[in-house]
Amino acid sequence: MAESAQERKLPVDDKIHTWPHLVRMEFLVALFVLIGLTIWSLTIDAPLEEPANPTKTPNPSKAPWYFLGLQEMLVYFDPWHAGVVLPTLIIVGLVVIPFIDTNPKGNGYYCFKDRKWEILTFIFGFHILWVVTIIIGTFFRGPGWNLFWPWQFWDTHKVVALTNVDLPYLLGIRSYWVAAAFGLFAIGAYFIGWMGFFYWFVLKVKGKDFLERWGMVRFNITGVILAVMMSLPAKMFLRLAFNVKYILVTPWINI
Amino acid sequence: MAERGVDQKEEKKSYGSVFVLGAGILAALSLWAFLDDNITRRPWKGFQAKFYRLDYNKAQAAYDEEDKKLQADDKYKELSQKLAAFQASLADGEVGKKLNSQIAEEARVTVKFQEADQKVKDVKSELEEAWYEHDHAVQQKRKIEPYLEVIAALDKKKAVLDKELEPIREKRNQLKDEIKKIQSGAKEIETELVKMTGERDKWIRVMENVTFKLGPFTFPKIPKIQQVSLDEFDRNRFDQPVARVDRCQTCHLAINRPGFEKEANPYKTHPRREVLLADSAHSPDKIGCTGCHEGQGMAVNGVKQAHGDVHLWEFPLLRGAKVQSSCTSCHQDVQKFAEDAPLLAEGQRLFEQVGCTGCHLVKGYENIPKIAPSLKKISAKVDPGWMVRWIENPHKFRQRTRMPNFDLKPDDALAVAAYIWSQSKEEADQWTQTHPAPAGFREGDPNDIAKGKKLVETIGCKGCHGFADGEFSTPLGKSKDLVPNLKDIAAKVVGPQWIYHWIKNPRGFEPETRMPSLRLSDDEALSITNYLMSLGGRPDPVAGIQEKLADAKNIKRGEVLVRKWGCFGCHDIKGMEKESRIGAELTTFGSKTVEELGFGNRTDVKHTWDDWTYFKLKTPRGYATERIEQLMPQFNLHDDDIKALRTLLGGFRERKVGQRYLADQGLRVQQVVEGRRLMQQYNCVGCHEIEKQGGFVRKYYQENVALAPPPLNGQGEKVQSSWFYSFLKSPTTLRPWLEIRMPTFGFSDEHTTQLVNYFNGLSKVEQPYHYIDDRKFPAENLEAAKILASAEYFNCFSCHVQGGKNPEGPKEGWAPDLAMARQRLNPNWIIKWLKDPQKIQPGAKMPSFYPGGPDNILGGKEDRQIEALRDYLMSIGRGAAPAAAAAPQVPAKAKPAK
Amino acid sequence: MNKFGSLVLAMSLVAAPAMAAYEGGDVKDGGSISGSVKFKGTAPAPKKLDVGKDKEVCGKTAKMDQSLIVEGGNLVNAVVTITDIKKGKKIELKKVQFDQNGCEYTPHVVAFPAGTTVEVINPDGILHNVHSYSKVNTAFNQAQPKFKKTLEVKIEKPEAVEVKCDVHGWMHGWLVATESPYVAVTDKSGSFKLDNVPAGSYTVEVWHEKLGKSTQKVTVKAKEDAKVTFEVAGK
Repeated sequence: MAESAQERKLPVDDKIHTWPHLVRMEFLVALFVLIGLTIWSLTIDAPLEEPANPTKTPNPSKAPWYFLGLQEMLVYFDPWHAGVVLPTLIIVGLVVIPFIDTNPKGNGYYCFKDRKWEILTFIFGFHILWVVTIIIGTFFRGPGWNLFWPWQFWDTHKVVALTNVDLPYLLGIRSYWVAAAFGLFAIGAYFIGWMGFFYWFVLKVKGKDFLERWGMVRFNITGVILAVMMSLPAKMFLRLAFNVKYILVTPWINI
Repeated sequence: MAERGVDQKEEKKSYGSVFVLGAGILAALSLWAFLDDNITRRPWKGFQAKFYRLDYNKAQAAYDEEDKKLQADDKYKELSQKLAAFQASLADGEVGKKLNSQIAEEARVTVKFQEADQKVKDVKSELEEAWYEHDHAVQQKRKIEPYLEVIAALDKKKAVLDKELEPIREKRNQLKDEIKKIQSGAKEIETELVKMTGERDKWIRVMENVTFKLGPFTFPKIPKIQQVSLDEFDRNRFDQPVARVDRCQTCHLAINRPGFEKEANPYKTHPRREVLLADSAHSPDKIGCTGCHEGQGMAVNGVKQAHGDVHLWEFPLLRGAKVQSSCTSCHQDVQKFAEDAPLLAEGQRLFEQVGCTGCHLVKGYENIPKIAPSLKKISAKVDPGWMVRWIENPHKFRQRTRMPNFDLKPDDALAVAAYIWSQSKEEADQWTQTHPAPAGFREGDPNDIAKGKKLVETIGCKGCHGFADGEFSTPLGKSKDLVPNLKDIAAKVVGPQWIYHWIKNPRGFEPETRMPSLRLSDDEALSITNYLMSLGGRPDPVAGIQEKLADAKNIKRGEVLVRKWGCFGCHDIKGMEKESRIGAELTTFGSKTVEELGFGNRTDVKHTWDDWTYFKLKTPRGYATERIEQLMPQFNLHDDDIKALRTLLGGFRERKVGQRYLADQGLRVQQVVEGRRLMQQYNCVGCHEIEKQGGFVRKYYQENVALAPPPLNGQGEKVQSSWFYSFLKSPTTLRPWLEIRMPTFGFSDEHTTQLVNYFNGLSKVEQPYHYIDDRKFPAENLEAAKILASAEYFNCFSCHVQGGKNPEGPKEGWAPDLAMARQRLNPNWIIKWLKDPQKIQPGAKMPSFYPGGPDNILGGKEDRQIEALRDYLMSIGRGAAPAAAAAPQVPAKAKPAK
Repeated sequence: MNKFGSLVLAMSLVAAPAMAAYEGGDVKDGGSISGSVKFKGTAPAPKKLDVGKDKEVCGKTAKMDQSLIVEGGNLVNAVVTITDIKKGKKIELKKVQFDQNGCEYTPHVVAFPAGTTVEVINPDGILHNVHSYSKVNTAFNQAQPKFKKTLEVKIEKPEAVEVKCDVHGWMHGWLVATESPYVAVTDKSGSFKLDNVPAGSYTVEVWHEKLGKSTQKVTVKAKEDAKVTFEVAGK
């Protein structure tokens, strides 16, 4: 009956009182974080770069670190796409998470198995794509946005041959309109192909019931956003391996 | 699901040790942060503290030394004893007693005084009231008699009281005076002592300056940032004026204090402090430090940071001679700083005279004329074979020539020669036809040659030209000749015909030439031509040279080459007179960062602006690569000249200093700068000493300096501008004993005006024009002066030419014609000259007659005598030469007045 | 320190070495140095100077070039000094005379301790001027008109100063200022004597305007006369 929880040894006794035990732990952690920050701030100074000179652009001209991911994307996509479309879709993607994520598990506790795909997707999108591009942009990019090893001297006079070609050109297409048509076709094919693959994939991993419950709306939103997200590593691969510049070339947009 | 319980073990754990550890670390970190912030990151505090200690110790040592001297001084000891005695007496001796009694007495009398005074005051008050009542009654038209009575009574009372008050007041004042007198009994002694201890006690003030007292304790002064804020010193990239802040004096505390010359930096006094940091020059409080020295003036968190020796600060500290580069940021006229900024002055001279502006545009130097001879009629002047050889490598023929070596291949040199030859043929042939070979030319006649040589040595050719190896007049750097050395002129020219006509009338061949005419007679010109044709032997003929030069293919190729190499930058070539410069603009070359300089394939050059520029000037094509050609030719400059040029180039910066900090603004400075350029171009200093420099031809007159051209220091002040203008246009003989001639340069009106303005500017002449009014000369003055000038007294005409009359004795002993004074000399200058000629021209033959004028002329007053002489000189220039002065009447010996 | 202080300091620093260089005082049992200066070689014939001006006054007597006078093998107008003496007899500054009689400087060479006042005399009744050519001292050029019979000049620092007249170009003479009071000028006999010299060894120097300097070491014993002979070669 009223056996106190303290006397009974329950299978998982992992709770502690907020006050004072949780708070004191939090306080200690805060203390050591403060110590770490203090040591950091005492030893490493914020960099003071050259005096501002509007007539002399620094080389390289880097965005603040939190935007370096976007700046790195500029290598692979044109500014409209990398600077407006993709960032907007990132935010839209974050906004719709509560809508498309119907997994009830994982409230208030850490787990992985219960939310494997959700967590993996997020890790891929944030840690891999976003963070890694920031790391590349900070440490691996030098003057002229050329690639340098982090320990390499930043030679402002380094010249790297630029031999990029558009994908239609690479495939032998020389007519302007045919290339545009091909580009549209390629992009269309990519999206359709991806959606097909995604359908098959959800079916395989989650099952038909889940798909029915999830609904077409959610399926399509998730699919499209994931397609856009995967287009970045896809384009990076095309660029680094085959020197592909653009898939679609039009006077209004290049992708 | 089972209910999850509380983790007892976890809750029982005590994290006290972790907490203590963390708190301890954080406390230590706080301490570290405090020290870091206040000490480690503020090294200037340490510097200041060290300086205050240094200053204190020095002051203390000086104080002790002075004190020792004082203690050894008998007078001081005596006075101190006297003062001590007096003060002792004042304290409790005789004097003290007297003083105290007087003070007591004064106190008593004061009380009495106050009482009496109060009574008077009361009566006065009552009187005021009574008068009011009276006035009121008048206004009310009542009877005033009763009031008048009251007033009268009060008046009487007041009179009585006043009479009582007076003696008390007197007594009181008397006592006060006495007290004062007693107290200041030692005043004289004290003043004496203060005078004696002045030297010693001033060190106390210095010590007080660097400490502060807190009760009985003395602490070193608290360090404080010393900064100078200069409003509108810089202009930012949007051309808005912005302030600049210099904090250099935070560590360099003694920079503007004498006495620290021997200390190590940062406590050292600035070199030549009294001159360079004077208020009229660069007081640090008005100009700051970084204006000249660059560096990061606002940084104080470290030596390297403050000196700007950090990555990304574009203006590191300028050390040593490099600081001279900064002068041009504010000063227009840098030649006058030949003492303080010798590298810069020399660099500017070299820049203007070696011909850099022929290829490179620099703002401020756009109007430097082309430095090389015109090539428009060159085929009438030089041997064709010689010309090709010269173009190929000028230094082989004349090592010190200003023309650089373009390192052309023989084919290219021929092509260039062909083009230039073809462009000049027409005009040259015309000139040759109208200037035939002179009659009476005795080629090879040794007597004639000797005569020519003598002429060359005496009439002034050596003021510009050298005629043997290593001979030159005005130096240009260490490796160049300003004017061609003629030691092998015969190997260059086409023949004696050209030389003859050239030396007779240079501008007849080249209208813009610097070479003047020495007004040679035909005979003289023939002899000199003969002499010159004996120097160097005739040039070797080159087979088929005329055909090669006339070959159309060569000419066409030559034109392309001439356009490529930019010959027209220095030479006038027909058809290319207005071509623009082919080199890079250097207006802001000094602001180039290292990233903007190309080092080519060279690995031996350090990556600094200084090294790049040095090696560029030393081996101009050294930075060429397999794909990039360099056009700049080799000037063969001496290392010192390169360093001087580099100093000037370092001053070609982007920076614009605020208007109010600029020096040398105004028309006068501009005229001096402009005129000086012209003066250097025509090499006036080859013969004349100007601005205390030059007169290089005088080295040939060391035996008798009187035979050398006169120095022109202070010329603007000395001569009348209109006379000077005429003289420069057409020189006349001023000094008949001179064999060396002032040449006729043929200056344009503009140039003549510029030269006159130059000298006037140097002497700061306010009014260049004078009107001599004969009626203003008092007759008394003229009479007195005639006597003074006579043989009885100063005997001026013993040495001075007098119109047409020459003095006795050999020519070397003569002095200028005084009849010219009216037209030529500035009347105010004559006064100065007569007062002390040796001050104006040290070593002049004219002796000082004053002080030492005779007592019996014009009352012995020397100023009046000088004025009289001046008036006399101004009057004797009228019309024809005056007759010899009549026998003067010596006045009777005046009584020894004064 | 203030301007005045630094000026005083500067002056004392300048004066100090000069004063510290030679110290005059009482000399006890002093000896003397005497001797003669001979000329080696054949004496050149004296040249006549051209008197072009004021012949009535200057041309009365013939003017000979006095820059190298040899009489009977003796060198005249040679200046003998002791160069390295630091302590000796007191310096007594007496006025010396430099006469321009007949447009010629007499004596041709005057030697005296530095700081002596030289009285330049002009008895000729015409304009002369005294123009000094010195490097160490401040050069001067002062006029001496007819009415100025005497003119005083000073040579403050030791130096041999040539003096010329600009009015009469042939006139030239020498004013030789020395550090110590031990100086003598040889006369026609070529001999000189320096007395009251404290005992010790010294360097004696002979200077002539055309023949330059030559030195010899001399040891002076108390109350004894040290003899020394110079032989100066002609150029």
